[in-house]
Amino acid sequence: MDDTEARLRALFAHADPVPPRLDEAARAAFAWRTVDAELAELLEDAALVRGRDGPRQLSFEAPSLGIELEVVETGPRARRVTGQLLPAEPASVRVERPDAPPLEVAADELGRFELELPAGVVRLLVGRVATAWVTV
Amino acid sequence: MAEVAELVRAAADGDRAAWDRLVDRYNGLVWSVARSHRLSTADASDVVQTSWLRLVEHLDRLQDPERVGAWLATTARREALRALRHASRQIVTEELPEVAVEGQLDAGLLVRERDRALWQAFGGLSERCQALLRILVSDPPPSYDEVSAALDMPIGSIGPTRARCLERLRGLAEGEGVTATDRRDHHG
Repeated sequence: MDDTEARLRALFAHADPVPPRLDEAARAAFAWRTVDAELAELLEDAALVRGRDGPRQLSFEAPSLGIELEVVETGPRARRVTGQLLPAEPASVRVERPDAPPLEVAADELGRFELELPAGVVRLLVGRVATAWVTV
Repeated sequence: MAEVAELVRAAADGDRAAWDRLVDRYNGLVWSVARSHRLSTADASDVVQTSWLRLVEHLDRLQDPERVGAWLATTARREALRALRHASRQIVTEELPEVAVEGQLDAGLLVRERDRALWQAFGGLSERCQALLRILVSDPPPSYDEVSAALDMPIGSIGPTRARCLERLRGLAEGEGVTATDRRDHHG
């Protein structure tokens, strides 16, 4: 290997290593393996439609259910998430987080819900539909 | 990389040790992809965690399990771009984290000065070169297929770009006070 590249590798190994707690988090992710949930995939372009200034929009789609989220930044690491279930129906929405207890919120008869939470990684469970994990 | 495909299949069947080996093999790459987008530590950590959680839910539906590293690199790149597009997420504006070279590379003053010059030179490279080299020097070294996925860059252009970026890096480092011995090494 090129000497310059080898020295650069050594420098980054010292200056910017993977934080140990992130190795632990990656290992711990395995515990979230679910066998029988129906996955609502994140539609890749949904976050890109709005410009840089608008609220962030995330769309998830499973065969039986769509979930639309709008994420507003209310502080440096604080978020307000407004959601819409499609088809619109009342339901219990469970918000799972790898590093914190789950949250429960009720969607009203129009399928709307809202919650405040810290920035981080979440997924939503509605019935047996689980969204992809996403950073809010 | 049939061995990697085996690890993916074993993890999909619930083998935690196989999963841990995938983390050992690829977390350096995933971290480097997040960092190459100049995300803060908090945002980069979210990107890394999201990428591994996505893999958990896709273990049994990867089309090419032997290319799981490229899959992770692609996922991390998309998540990093998503984070960057979110207007007020903090982007790391300082060029590089503070480097504590002194005393860590235990090979005397000359080596330390050479490395400081190299570190400063790295900050003078184009963003594209910095991103490519940051990913290439992740530990363990990634394959070109994985680098291609991490940067959305054709495999064929990685080698030439790598050579050009390293040449530019050496030039900058020499301009910033590398010794005559190093110069002979580089040009000899």
